Amino acid sequence: MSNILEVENLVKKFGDFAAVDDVSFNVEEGEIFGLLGPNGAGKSTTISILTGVTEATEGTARIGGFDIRTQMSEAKKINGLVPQELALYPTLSARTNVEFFGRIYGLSGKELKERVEDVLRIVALTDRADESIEKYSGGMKRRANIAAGLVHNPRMLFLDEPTVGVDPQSRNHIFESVLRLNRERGMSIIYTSHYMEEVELLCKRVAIIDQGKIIALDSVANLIALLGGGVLQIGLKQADKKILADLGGLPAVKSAVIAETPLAPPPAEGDEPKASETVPIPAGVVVKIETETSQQALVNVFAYLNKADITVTSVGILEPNLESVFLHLTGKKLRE
Amino acid sequence: MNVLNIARKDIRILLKETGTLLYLFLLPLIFVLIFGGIATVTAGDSEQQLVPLAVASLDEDQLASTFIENLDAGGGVEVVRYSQAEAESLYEQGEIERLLTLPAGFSEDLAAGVPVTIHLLSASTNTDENNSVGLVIEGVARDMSLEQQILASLEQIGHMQGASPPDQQVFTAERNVAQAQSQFDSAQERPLIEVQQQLPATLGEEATQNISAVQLAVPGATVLFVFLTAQTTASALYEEKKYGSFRRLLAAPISKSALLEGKMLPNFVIVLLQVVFIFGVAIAIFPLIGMEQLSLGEDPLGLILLVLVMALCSTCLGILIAALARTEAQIGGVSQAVLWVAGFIGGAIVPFFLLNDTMANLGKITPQYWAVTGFNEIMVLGGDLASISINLAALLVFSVLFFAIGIWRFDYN
Repeated sequence: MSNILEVENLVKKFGDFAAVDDVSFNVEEGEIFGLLGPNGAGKSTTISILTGVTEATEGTARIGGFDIRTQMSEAKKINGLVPQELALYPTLSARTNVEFFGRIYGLSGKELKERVEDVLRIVALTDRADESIEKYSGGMKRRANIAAGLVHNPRMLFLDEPTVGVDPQSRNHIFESVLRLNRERGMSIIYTSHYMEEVELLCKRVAIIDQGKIIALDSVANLIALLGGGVLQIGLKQADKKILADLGGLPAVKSAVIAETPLAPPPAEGDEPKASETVPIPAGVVVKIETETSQQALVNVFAYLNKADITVTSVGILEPNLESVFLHLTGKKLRE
Repeated sequence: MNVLNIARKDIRILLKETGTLLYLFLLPLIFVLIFGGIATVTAGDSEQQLVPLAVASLDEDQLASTFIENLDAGGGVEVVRYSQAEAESLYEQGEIERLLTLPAGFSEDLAAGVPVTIHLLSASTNTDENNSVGLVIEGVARDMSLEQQILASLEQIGHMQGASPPDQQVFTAERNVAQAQSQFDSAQERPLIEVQQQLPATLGEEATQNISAVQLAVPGATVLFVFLTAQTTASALYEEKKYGSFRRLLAAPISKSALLEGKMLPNFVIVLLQVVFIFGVAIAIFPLIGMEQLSLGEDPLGLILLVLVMALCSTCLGILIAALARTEAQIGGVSQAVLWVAGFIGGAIVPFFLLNDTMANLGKITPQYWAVTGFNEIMVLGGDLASISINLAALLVFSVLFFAIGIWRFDYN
């Protein structure tokens, strides 16, 4: 399968701040590709560069074979953008809005009329197409927003957080529309979101982006597999290397490490441990245990800790999903 | 084509904004109606307004009649004759504002060199008119007094010569008086001191020497609101960026220049419509409501060019405002305030010749000044394309400056 999009070492700087920092990825023809990351990660900036809204500081990309540095006007003809903002004219109707953008993309006459009706049908707005956008609900506005990006039948569609602020019914409709466009028309789609469930549902492959960098890129399944069966986070009063090694050797456990915590203050003079004593790791630590199956590992871990008479202060389970993958990789949540 | 698509869409949006339409088209008319109600200021003599002066003469002899004829012919007043009883009655009723009464024996006393008093009653509080009438009456009185005194002197000299032997009598009293009278009559037709007035070369045959409030207010209000349209354009651009549709347009296969041209074109069209509408109403409707009809002057080509260049200037100003203003408050309140002030010092609200020299000179730094004076040149002074060439040039320079800075500073992000 050939690539419709090839991004190479893309950089976008605003002063000293790198909003996009050496990003590279490819999108296959007909693929739904996810860009997952928290707010401010660089998703929208990446989209802006690829759609020609802004220029890259360094790096380049090719869309449909057109280099965005030198052939952006050609690339724009096959691109479609559904921006995060409701990029419509509120006092005009959905039909008028879509017609306008259709004309901008060179459509006219009968072809324009047919395309407008087609996309309004796709987003289920035909019945209310002649009402002004300002009278629509949030979900309807989002659907009209999508329609305006589809009217010229792009080969490469950029959907930038299309479900923000949308009711569940409209959200499901958007999902169905995206899948249908991909399945029936072979449209390649880049879908950005900070909702992992959307990306898991829609995307074949996902790039996890944070602070302008791609920190992981793989299929959803493989990314989730990074967590194996899940990750246990066990809070202990104390843990030493022997305990970690014992935990790591339990059945259904892949590894046990100390999660990053601040260092404890050095012991007072006269309290330094003797050489023969176990050197304690600072108290209140969280041990991160990667598992093959979380439930089985949990049972085994608790059995061991009980037997060793080690007090547990907290228990956390990261189920295998993209949110946990993000947390596992960055220590941060996707949605604060 | 995309330029037209964007322009058409913007005009479509504007047509839905009733408030903006009222502001751009109706408010200028209201402005004109208010300022057009100001009294006409006249300059020149072809249709000069004469102050009515009622005259009642109790003397029907020659000198009294001559005095009254000289008053009427002297200019400045329009003499209306009444009998004394009628004049007094009308004056008491307020039907006449000024009454001049010549007493009985006026002619006899004047001929005899006896001082005579004429009475002027005035019920008007218009000081200027009162002074004008007084000056006219005094002027005629002075002339007649001098004439009578000189004639009396010459007659006396003649009588004195009568005592000489007959062969030495060359000039009799009658001959002296006749000769002097002939000189006075000749002086009326060919005065010793003649005043020649040189008028500006641009003054055409039908030169509008009548600077009416309508002739000043209509172009002034038009210029003011034409440049306020620039703020509307800037606001539309800001809204487009704020709502995200600008980003979508940037992602579309349309050049940045076409995008901006598409945003500028509606401003240009709106300005032309504003001029046509306001001028059209001033020509067609104003006379129906008792106001003076607007005159477009003698040079339609010059007028059209002036309108086109002014429209271009306003349009470029819109881009400049959109480029420099960063917030809604700056585009709305601040730029409006600046445009109103510029309109004021540019002579669009108050005619610049009513401003002091400092303000009038300051106005030259505004495009409004050059537009207003251009309109005045064509529509009030009867000028032509050549006489507004500097106005056109100034407006073009402003246009280029606004556009260049606007494009340089415009943030597409």
